Amino acid sequence: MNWLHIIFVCEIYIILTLSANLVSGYTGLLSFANAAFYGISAYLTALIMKNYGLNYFFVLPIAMFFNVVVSLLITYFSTKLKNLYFIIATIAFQIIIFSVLYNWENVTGGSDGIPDIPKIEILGNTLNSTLDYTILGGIFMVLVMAFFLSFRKTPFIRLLECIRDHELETISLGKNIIYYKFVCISISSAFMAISGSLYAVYNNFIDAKSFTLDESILIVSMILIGGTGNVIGPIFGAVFFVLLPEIIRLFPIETSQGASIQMIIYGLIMILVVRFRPNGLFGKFRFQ
Amino acid sequence: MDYLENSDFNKMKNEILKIENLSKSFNGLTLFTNVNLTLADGTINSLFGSNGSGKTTFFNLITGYEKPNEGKIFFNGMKIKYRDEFHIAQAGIGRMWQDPMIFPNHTVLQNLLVSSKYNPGESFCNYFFNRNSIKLKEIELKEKAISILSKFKLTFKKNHLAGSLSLGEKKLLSISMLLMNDAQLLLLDEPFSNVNSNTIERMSESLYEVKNNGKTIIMVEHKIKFAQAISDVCFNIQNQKIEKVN
Repeated sequence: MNWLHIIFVCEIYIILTLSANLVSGYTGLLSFANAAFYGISAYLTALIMKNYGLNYFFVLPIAMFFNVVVSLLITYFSTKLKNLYFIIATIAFQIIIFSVLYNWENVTGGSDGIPDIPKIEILGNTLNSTLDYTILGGIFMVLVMAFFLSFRKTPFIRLLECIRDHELETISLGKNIIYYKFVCISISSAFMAISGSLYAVYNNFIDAKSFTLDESILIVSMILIGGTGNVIGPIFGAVFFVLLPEIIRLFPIETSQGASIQMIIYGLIMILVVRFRPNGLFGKFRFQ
Repeated sequence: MDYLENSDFNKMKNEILKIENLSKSFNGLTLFTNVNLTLADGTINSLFGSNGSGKTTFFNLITGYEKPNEGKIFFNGMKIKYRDEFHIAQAGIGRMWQDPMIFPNHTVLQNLLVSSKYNPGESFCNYFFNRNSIKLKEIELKEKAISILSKFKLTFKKNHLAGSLSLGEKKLLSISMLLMNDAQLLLLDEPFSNVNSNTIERMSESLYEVKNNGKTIIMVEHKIKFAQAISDVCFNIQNQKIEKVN
């Protein structure tokens, strides 16, 4: 078992869940478009690094900015929608982005994906080993965690929580909630770009099947199980869901049965959490 | 203020709200026909009417949640344009809903802080360029919030979750939030309903103080006696018109 690889995957998902938690946990907008933003930034990083040979640290801000621009689209079309309608709009967005990534063969390579993505170079040294990427991922993860920890008690987050708790009252206090929803979706998608770009360079190869609706559901499950509206819940959810298959692997079960058992355990955990801890294990906010 | 429009309406001294020839109907049901009404600055006004007569719709028309079929509404001499509801709130029209909308998962003090009209801490970019002003403003807002809470005798509950307050306290908190929001015109939807006589007395005293601070109040109320006791002017909705009552 490659523990460094597992730690790296945990770091990627922690960044994704913390980012998704800003939209879903603090603002109450349950978005299923997380994998779309994750995928867009992975593809953009791969394309720019491969075709133009730009350094990763130049490409990352471009990917973050591009995600913000794309998030404008989703904000424009969906923030006036509420609850189920917002969820459906984000699912539609996710499916559209997946279809574009999967079918735009000239650019994305279609089902063949993009191979041979260059590795990261820092001062002439190429990062090749899993340890290198685990350290870099760890640095990014700590920065993102520090950002959310320092922001969690600010008037900005307080306002997002008020939008979540009582949208109509927030409007009647003169707050432009569309603007705040745009800001929070933008910040969230920008942070997701960190995970997407790291994933692309670490793997050397990406294809659209890594960014399906299933991936978005997994990210949402992570924050729902861990709990929303705080920092510890999404971190726990991410670590738990990454480690679960590895723990199952420790038991002497045939590989063919392992996947089914994993799904059964996922399902059982979801049922138990929804039944006994509807706010998630560490959550402050309960989705209605 | 692009949500209000300069108009040829000359604001009379003391007039904060003027409604001209307002008509509203829903699916063939006419609620208002050519309604004219004026509210004077710094007064308490009550609006009575039977259930379904259009009292809440009247508030919805003023606050932009409904659009009139005809007619104009002027606030502080400017015509209200119907674009987004939050613009009208920013202009200075505050509303307390029949079921007071507060933020239950936040403390009473936090409810007031989030109600302030301008808080630099609510702008994401300010965290990078203007951290000091955020801290200073938060201190200033806390002082203002505590002084408002003391007027409503709610200071001792400032650290309680708003969701844990009684209905009467929630209504008081809701009015405090409008003051924190610097609303000039307060629309109160049944402030005295479902609260005991002690709370009504406490609320009446507070509304008097609000009025003495130059704010204008219009409230929809079924408890006519209590409302009349503190009102300068009373109105009644009847036959699709709003008429002054003696």
